[in-house]
Amino acid sequence: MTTPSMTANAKQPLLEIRGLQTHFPTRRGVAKVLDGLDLTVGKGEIVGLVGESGSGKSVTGYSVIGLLKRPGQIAGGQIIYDGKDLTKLKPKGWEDLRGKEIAMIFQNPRSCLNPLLPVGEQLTQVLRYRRGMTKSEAKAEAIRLLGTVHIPEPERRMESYPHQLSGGMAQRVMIAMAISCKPRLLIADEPTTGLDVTTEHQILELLREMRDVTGAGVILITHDLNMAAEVCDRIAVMYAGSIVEEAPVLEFFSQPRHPYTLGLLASRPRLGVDEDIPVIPGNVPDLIDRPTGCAFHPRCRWATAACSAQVPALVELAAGHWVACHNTEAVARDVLAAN
Amino acid sequence: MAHAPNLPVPATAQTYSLRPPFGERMRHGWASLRSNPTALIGAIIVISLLLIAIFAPLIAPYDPYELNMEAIAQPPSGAHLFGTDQFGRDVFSLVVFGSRLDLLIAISAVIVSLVIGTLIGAIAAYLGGWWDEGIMRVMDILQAFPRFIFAMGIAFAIGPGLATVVIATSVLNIPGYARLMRSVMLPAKKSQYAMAAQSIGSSHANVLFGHLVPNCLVPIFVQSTLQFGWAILEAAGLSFIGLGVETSAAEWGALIQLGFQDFNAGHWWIYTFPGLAIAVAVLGFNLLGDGLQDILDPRRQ
Repeated sequence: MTTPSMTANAKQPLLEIRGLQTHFPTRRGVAKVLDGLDLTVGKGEIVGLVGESGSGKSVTGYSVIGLLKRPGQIAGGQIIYDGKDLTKLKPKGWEDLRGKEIAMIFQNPRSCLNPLLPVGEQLTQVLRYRRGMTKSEAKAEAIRLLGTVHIPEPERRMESYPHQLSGGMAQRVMIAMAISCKPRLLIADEPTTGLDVTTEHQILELLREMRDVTGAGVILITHDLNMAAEVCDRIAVMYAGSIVEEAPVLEFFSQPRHPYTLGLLASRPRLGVDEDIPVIPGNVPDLIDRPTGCAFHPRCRWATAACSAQVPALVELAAGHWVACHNTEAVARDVLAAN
Repeated sequence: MAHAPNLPVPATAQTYSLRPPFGERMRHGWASLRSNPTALIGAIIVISLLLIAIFAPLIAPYDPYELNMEAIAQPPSGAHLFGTDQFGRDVFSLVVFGSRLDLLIAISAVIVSLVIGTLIGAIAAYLGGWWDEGIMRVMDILQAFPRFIFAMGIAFAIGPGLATVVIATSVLNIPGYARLMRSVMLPAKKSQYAMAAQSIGSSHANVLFGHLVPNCLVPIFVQSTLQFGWAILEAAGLSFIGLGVETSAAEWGALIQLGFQDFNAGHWWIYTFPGLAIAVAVLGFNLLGDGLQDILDPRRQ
């Protein structure tokens, strides 16, 4: 089975997710939150994972780092990281892997820090425990790391408690902590939620800088296309637990081909345009009682009989541009006509 | 990173206050204690008790174990402030020395039950599922035992004495701490810092004992202050019914038992003063506990 961008991007990808099924059994039935997700991340690549709330973006992140909340479980598919299938990993293996190979940063950075300990203490603990440093080595390294993420006066800041930090500052500390054990894959789950626009920009810049310095691959989970456009090399759009379109960032914005992507791009507010924002009709599908065929067909104006009968496979339209749709030709024709 | 000497310190450095120095934190603690009369009175009583226990030999006018056949069961007077017992021992000295034994029993019982109960509750909440269910049902069974019957069982097994009192009081208080810790831990284990710690590779033990437990200790400490009062009552109760230290010992419950034996003779001073000592001690710990709850609970600020 070929997966998107395997041919287009790196020859040996860092992370390759194949047909991932993450299910949440509930009283009403099994919610297939991820249903056949394919995603590849190359070394030193920033991949934007975009979709609306409930599309399974965060669950993808938690599946990759093995921190699914109960009752979530991986029911099928593979997560190949560095040649190993993570879905077969034992708990001890996860502990060794997290931090050193894969790390994650979250939204609400201030609540991600232990409120009782100064941030320097938390950082040095990780360095001593995970990298076997002595107390003084760890302290020097922690100060260096805080400097790396552009925290002014890092020596003084070591003493700060989480409640004394601004949101942006706390996210910088989290990033310092995430890169402290030199992971090769960083998952950033909406890292700028709750931060103001200037800080958001700075955090994104920092993420890109960290990628340049460490060469780590990054999955940037966001619902904000503009944010993805700012830093990502490649963008993958998720809908109801699978990827519907994936393309290099320039092509993504210039030649979108999936009806859902078109809807997302059209519903972005634009400056100086005084019309109603077009919205995608309908709602996100019920993940327990999923639509047959393409999950998007009940909301799609291009839908045909084939759409409700068969799940469309991801097809490579151009180099690195993958779309899962039965009617790409009709969509392309209409888009060209509209322009 | 060193700044050139003529460069001003960046403005951001001033915008946040850093960790206040030790002296300032102590002043802050004292200020909140002073603004809460309940806690203040409780603290004064508790500290006085501790001082009395520590300096008992200096405070007591007589040796509490010295028998004086010349002065048997005398009512309170200038020479014997609280009177004397059937053996002519000075009741005031006995009560003063009794604070040592009672505080010792209370402190060891509270420490033992706090450590074990907190561990049990934290582990039950963290593991969840059947572990939680199983552990907490055992706690239910423990709590369902009539307390004195349980103590009698322990006394039957190892004989009455100091150890019996400490073991019985600790074991009986374990479920309370376990339950409290569990209730604080359940929401805490879902916190983001726990997940963030795991995402960086921390082991379960590190997440639980390094991050979660320290964040759950405030209500435990408040509870333990209240528990001191109960432990003193329980210890005295066990000694009173003869399961604790022998009646000749300088211990408040034993002393009340001694006075009770002479009840019909009308020697009220033998049991009244140790009884008052127990009441004051329990009151002190309860006031301090309630006050601390007010001070430390952010919702009440």
